[in-house]
Parts: sequence; C-alpha cells; structure tokens
Amino acid sequence: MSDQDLFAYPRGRLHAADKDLAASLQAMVQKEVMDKRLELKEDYDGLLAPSLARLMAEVGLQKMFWPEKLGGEEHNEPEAAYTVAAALEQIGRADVGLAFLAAHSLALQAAVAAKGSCREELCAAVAPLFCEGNRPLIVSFVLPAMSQDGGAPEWRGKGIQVRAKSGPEGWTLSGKAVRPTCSGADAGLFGVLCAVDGEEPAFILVPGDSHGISREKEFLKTGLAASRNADLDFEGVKVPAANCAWRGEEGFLNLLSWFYLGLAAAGSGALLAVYEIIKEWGDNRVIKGRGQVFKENPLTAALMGEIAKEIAVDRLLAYNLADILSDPQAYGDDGPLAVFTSALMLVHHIYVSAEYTIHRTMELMASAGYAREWQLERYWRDLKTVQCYLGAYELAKHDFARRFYHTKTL
Amino acid sequence: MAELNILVCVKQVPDPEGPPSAFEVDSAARKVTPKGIPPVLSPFDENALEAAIRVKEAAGGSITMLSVGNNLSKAVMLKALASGADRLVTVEDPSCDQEGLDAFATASLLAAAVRKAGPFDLILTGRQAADTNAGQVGLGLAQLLSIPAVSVAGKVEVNGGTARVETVLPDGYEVVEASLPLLVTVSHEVGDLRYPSLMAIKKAKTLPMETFKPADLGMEPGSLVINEITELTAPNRERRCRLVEGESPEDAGAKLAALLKEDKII
Amino acid sequence: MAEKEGILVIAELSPAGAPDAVTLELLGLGARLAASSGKQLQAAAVGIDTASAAATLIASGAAAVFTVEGSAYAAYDPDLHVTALEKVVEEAGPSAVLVGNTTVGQDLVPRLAFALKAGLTTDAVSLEMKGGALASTKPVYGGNAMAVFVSRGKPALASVRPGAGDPAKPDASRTGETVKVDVEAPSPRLSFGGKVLEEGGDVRLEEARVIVSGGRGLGGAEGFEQLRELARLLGGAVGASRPPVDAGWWPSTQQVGITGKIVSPEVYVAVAISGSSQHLSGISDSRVIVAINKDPEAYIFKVSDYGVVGEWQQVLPGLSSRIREILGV
Repeated sequence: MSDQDLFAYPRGRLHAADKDLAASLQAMVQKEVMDKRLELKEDYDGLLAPSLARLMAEVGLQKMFWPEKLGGEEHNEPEAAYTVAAALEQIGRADVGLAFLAAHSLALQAAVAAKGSCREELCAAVAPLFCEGNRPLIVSFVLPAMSQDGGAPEWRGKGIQVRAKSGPEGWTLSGKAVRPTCSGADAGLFGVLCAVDGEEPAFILVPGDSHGISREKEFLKTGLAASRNADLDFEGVKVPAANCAWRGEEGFLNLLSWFYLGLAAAGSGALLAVYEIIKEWGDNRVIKGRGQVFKENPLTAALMGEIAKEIAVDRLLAYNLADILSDPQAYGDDGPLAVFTSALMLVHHIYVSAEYTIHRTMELMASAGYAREWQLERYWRDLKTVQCYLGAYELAKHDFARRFYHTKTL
Repeated sequence: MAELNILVCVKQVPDPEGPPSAFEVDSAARKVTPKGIPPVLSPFDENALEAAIRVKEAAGGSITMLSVGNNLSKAVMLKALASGADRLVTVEDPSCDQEGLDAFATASLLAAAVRKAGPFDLILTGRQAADTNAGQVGLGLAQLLSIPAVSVAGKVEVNGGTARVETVLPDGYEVVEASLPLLVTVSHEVGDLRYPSLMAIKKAKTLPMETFKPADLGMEPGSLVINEITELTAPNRERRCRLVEGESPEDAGAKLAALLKEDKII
Repeated sequence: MAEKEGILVIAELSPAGAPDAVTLELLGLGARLAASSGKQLQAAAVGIDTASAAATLIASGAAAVFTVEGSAYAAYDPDLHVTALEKVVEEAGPSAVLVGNTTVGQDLVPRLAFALKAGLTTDAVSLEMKGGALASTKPVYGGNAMAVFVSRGKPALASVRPGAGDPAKPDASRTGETVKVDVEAPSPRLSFGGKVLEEGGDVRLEEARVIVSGGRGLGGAEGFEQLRELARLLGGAVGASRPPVDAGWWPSTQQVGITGKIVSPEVYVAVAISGSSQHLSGISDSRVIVAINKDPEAYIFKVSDYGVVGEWQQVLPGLSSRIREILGV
C-alpha cells in the first residue's frame, strides 16, 4: 500500500484508466519535477515550462474533452470529473502552479466540450488550438475581480474587467489593466467574462495572438512560479461571433465549478506532499534530551495526527466535489447555482484548512519549515497565491448567504 | 513497401534505481530477491520502445512488444503498450524465471517467438538489461535469426527498405546503414520513453495480446542453458571513510588537500 | 587442432596493426590461467597484415598465433570478423576464449558466442580455471551482487573488463608458431559511413589517472567549469553521474557508471554525487575515492576513503587552492 492510499478516497469510483493515468502522472512528475527541483529550484524555462509541455501536449491533458474527430480524446462524460481530480491531485503534489495551469485548461474543456453540450461551431473554432500539432496551450481566465473602477458592471459583488460589443463581424472587446488568473505573459487562449451593455454577460474565448491585446511586464509574485502573470490591455480586440461560449450565468457557473474542482484536487495533492514532508521529519527528528523521535512523543504526535486528519478530510472533500460534478442528479439536481455554491464552499474550505495545516507543520519543523530545501514553504506560498485567485473569502460568504438565506438585496 | 513491422524485445527487471539494501543476495539459492522495489521495464528497453515509436511516427508501421519471463506484471506491460505499441506477445512460464534462463536460452525463446509471431522488418532491443548488464541477448537473437545487427544505437531511422543507425562510440558516433530486416540494440542517447495519454491508456487494454508457453514453441528452456551461475555473493563495497573537518568548509577543503599529499595520493 | 588445449586471446589491433593495451592485459591473464591449468596460451589476430602483431603476441607469451589476413579486414565489420574468428576457434579448439570488454569487444563477442553456440560471460572482472573449466566473475544487479559463471561445454567465452589484469611484459626471446587460417569472407551486410568525433574532456576517462566527477547537486553546467579546474591541476579528466548528463550539463561521452564508462583511476573525486548503485559499480575499481557532499548521510561516504561534508561551492576552492600551493603551480 502506498502512503497516498492511507488517505481514503473513493477509489472504487475511479475507472481503471483514471488510476493508470494517475499512476503514470505520479511517476512522471516524480522524475520530471520532484527529482529535479532541488537543483533547478523554480526555474521556469528549465523545469516548469518543459514539464507543462509534457503534461499538456505529450500526455495530452489539453486534448481530453474534445471530440475525436477534432483530434481530441473525447473523454467528456460527467464522470471525467474523477479523471480531472485524480490527475490534478498528482500534479499538485509535485507543483501547485502546474496543476493550477492544467486546471484552467480542463475546466474550460469541461465547460465547452462536455458530452452533448459541445457547440459545433465553437468547438471547430477552438479545438485546433488544443489538439493540432504538439504545442502546449496555456489557458487563462479573465474573471470578475475586486474592482477599482467604480463604474465597472458588477457580478456577484465583483467588477467585470472587460466590456464587449456585438456587431455584424463578431465581438469587440475592450478593457484596461486587466488582470488574468494566470500566465498573462504566456497564455495562448483567454476565457474572458465580458459585460455587455444592457444585456447578460458573455463568456468569450480570445486567442492570445489576437490583434489588440498588449501584455504588460510580468509582475513579481511569491508563489506559482509556473504561471508568469502579467496585466493585459484589450484595445478593440475582435473575435468571431462563434467565440462566444455562452451568454448569461449558467455556463459561467458550470465553468467555475469545474475550475474549483481542479483547484481542490491540486490542493489535496499539495497536502499529500506536505504529509510526505512531515512524515520524513517525524520519522527521523529526535527531540533533544529525550532521545525520542517526533512521532513517538505524545505532544508532537498529536500535532502530526491533527495534520493527517486535516489532509484526510480535505482529500475526501475534493473527491466529493468530483462526485457532485460527475452526477449532479444524485445531489438533487438543484441546477448550476447549487453545484457552484457547493464547489465554492468546498474549495474555500480546503484552502483554509490547507493554510492551517501548513502552519501547524511549520511549527513542528521550526526553521526547516521555511527552508527552501524542505520544500514546505513552496507549497505554502503556492497555496496562498491560489487562494488569492479564488477571490475574497468574505465575498464568497455572501454567495453562501444568498443560497442558504434566500437574500433579496445582498 | 508493405507496412513496416517493428518488434521491440523488452525485459522486466527490479527497479535498478532501488537502493543497494533493496537487493537481497541469497548465496545458497544463488538468486537475488528484490525487496520493496517494483518491477519496471529495463531502462534501455524503454529507450528501444521510444526508438520504435519514433520510427513508426516517421515511416508508419506497427509495433509488437515481445517479452520472455515469469510473473510478468500486467501493469508494467500495459504501461509500455500505452506508450505507443500496437500488440503484445509474451512467453511466460515458471521455467522462464530470471534464474532459469541464460542469454542463449532467452534468445532462443525470443527467436522461436519471432518465427511464430513475425516476420518483422526491424527488431529493437535495449543494449543490455539492467539486472545482468550482459548485452548478449539482442546480438545473439540476430545471430540465431541470421539477420544483420547493429549495436548501441543513439538514433534509428528507416527510409524505404533501409535503416540508418547512429551508433554511440566512446568519443562520438558512427553512421551505419543496412537493408531490412535488421536488429538494432538501443542506448539511452535515443531519448526517454514518452508518457502515455489517457486515450492510449484506455486503448492499451484492448490491444491484441498473445501468450505462449515454451512448449508451444517446441522449447524446453532448462535444456537450452549453456552458462550457469555457480556462485553468488554480495560484494563488500564499503570502505572506511576518513571524514575531514575544518573550521570552515574552505578550510576542510584545504585540509583534505594536505591529507591527500601526506598519504602520497597526489 | 593444437596439441594442447588452449586459452585463446582475441587480439584487438590498432589502426597501425599493433595489439592494444587490453590485449596485453588479456595475455597476462591468459598466461596465468594457462599455467594453472596446464594449457597453452594462444592468440588470434585478424587484419590486413598481421605479421608484426603476431610477433608482438608471441613476445608477450602466446605459444601459437592464429591469423586471418585480408584487405576485407581493414576496419572492424562484425559479420566478417565473426566469420573469421569462428573459423579460428574451430581450428584452435580452445577451452577458453578471452576478449576485451571494449566497444568492439562488446559488439563482437556475443555474436561469436552465439555463432559457436558457446557460453559467454561479458564484462568479467576476474577469471579462474576450476577443474579445467573457465569460471568468470562479474557484477550483476548494478553491482549489488557478484556472480560466478561456468559454461556447460566448450569453449567458454569471456569478455574481460579493461584494467582487470596486469599486462604481459613482452620478451623478444620467446618463440611460438604462427598459423595462417584461410577464411572466405562473406559479403558485407552493413555499410559504415565513417565516425564523427565529438569533443569530450581533455583527457580520456578510461585512461585518466585522476577523475573528478560531478553529480546532480552541482546544479548546472557552470559547476563543471570548477571541476575542470581541479581536474586540470591534477592532470585528470572530468566525468559526471547520470543526472547531469540527462540534464545536458555535461557530454554523455563523459558519463561514469554502469551505463556509461566503467573507470579505474588512481583517484576518483566525487563532487555532489550521492552514490546510486549504477554509478558506484562504475567506480568501484578506483584505488582511492574522495567524496564531497553536503549530506552526511549520503551513501557515497560509505564507499569512499576520504570525505568532506559541506557545500561543494565552499569546499572546492579551499581544496583547489591548497593543491595549487602543494604542487607549486
């Protein structure tokens, strides 16, 4: 039994191919990422970009949902939620940033190319970016954000960053100092939620090489080295009418639900790595004067036990979200808003717990906790950065209130 | 020319990257028992499979994977198949255990399987297996099949009925050309085996697989063995290490130099 | 067939036609085996003109030299050489055949063994005659076990790791017979397009007296420049374990280990190498092993004679500058 299997998850719900893919990814990231990161540190060109390319293009995560006739793998049933969870967990265990990028691609595929919902015109326009050649495609989102522009149209308490106009030749997008969720410097496709005057918002897919997109300089951040983020300007960016994935809220909520599944799984994977780190520490570190290793001392063992409990619960929660997405009917089928709210609650819960768990681990490991060699601090930085992109927890609480208390004006 | 039939011969071995403690040497039974390390495809055989996949990508054709052994792991074989092979043939039997075969017996079984499952235009093997590191079976198989062979390839290409192979030399490489059929033993310079996609993993289980017993091939492995292990011991590699300390790492380095001089080593 | 059963050494000839260093080692080993079992030391040489080679082989202890001559043998072609040597073995009828475990030897000897349907042990590190039969010892499982192989039937073949024995000392007063073997060379099946040499280290690893090797912990190609300086001071070569080669920091021709070069220098300096089985098997014949590693638990210290625990970036300058002082350069 591998150490990962100590943490229960519904392995019986995974297909054999999901498990094989997870095992293959586990071996791959061990060799390509984890074994090399001591010397390569968080080098983008040397370590992260090649690994991302192998994951997306060679293993083909970016082809997973698209129809076979467009070069995809057509793995597009709702049950693919388990595949997404199992895959992103293994990638997150090695590097949260890589999993974060892969979560963007898989969420967009799930939302656009799911079985029965793939609009032929849209798929034909976008699938080639994912499936043709063997080039990795980085997907990024432009989501509503904490707005500084008082006049920006709101979506659930946040400002929509880009405005779009529909005309006979398609859509025209404009927005200044737009902050994408990842890889502003590198992304090949942006999924942009746009405000449309007097109408429902539109979710529009914008190829990264579209005329009128300018990319600012990559900005400094402390985590997620795999994502070189930069602000963008959209100046009259034109895309065909077919590039509008959907109008209104439902499709967007579905996209976010799958995105949160990816982030939940990445978080669970990172916590499995945290477990491996604290286990090595607890197995070997001797308490001075007592001659006891950490795991045998009642006090430190209790802390280690609590860390394991948090990780175990978070893993169950991540797979529970996969279960919800794989079969919404089983959960009452209250519509995309209900699924979205569950996803938002679960992912926030996991990230709050992950932060708490890493803090506890750092306490036990003292200065080794934030020494780069032990890697723990990297998971800490990465998970906290993902939390930033999840959006403010306080605003999420309003989303929970909306559903559970039937608020009228919130 | 008809479709190119490529054969890759692979061997399952205990993970050679395992720590020395994972290889338990049983001198009485003259066998090594791996402890706590998984079986894997011998690394050079992975390179051979990668070379085959590249040839197939460039020239078309189909890839058959062939393995002789006992208790072959389905997971190991499926994973390899998923990387890009089209068909699996195994010769499996308790008599094909690592301890029961030598290079001649192994190559004889492979040759018989090739005659049964072939013909093949291009046969690829690893340059040597990670357990015995003997480097005999590939070249031996060519000899038994009476086809030409090129050893230790860093690159393999096929154009029409001709193969172009770059063989790895200690100080460079050499280009060798030959008409098919040809056997090539492959080195790691070819490149790492790719990782399979989800679709390939799903497909691997549906690929044609055949298993032969040695008897099906008219073979009795034990009687083919020429070279026998008569003794097996665990080597003592350990040396007594003199650890040099200093006031600083630089100082320790300087003290090491002085000590090496004192002991007439430099 | 010769009067006595023989120990047959297959000579590898330089482009100029002279037996190489490994051949002389094999003759040294073969003489010992022949003496201990009452057999005759024999040699085989295949080339355009083998007269001077035969003289050297006889001077180095061979009582009989079997030669195959012809313009077809100008360069090594496995098919031609195997056919020639198969005939030689048939004529000589030896009980043991020794070949060097060199690039050519590795390519040749499995083919020859299978052509003869004879038992073969490759990369043998020691040889012995037991009850008139050749017993060859070689490392298996990445050096985690040593196995002794004995063949059923004759002859038994072994390819011997370079450096496994002391070379024979030529003595021009020795005498022996030269037997010319006529062989009809088969038509070639392989066409050789010439060698392309790549730039390696300054000194060949196999011949270096001192080797300074770097591992994964060097962190990049720049680290190897510092190793090069130390190697230059000691007149040695720079090698690497597998990870730096895979990462492209150092040429693959300079990889040390069972999948690269097996070396036996006087001094082997392992810098930031933790010591995988694969690597250790390639260096275990070094006379002295020196390890520099920041991890006191690194396995390499268990197999080293001298060690410093510390960051190589700090230890190396201290070591190099002191060596410069000692050597007065």
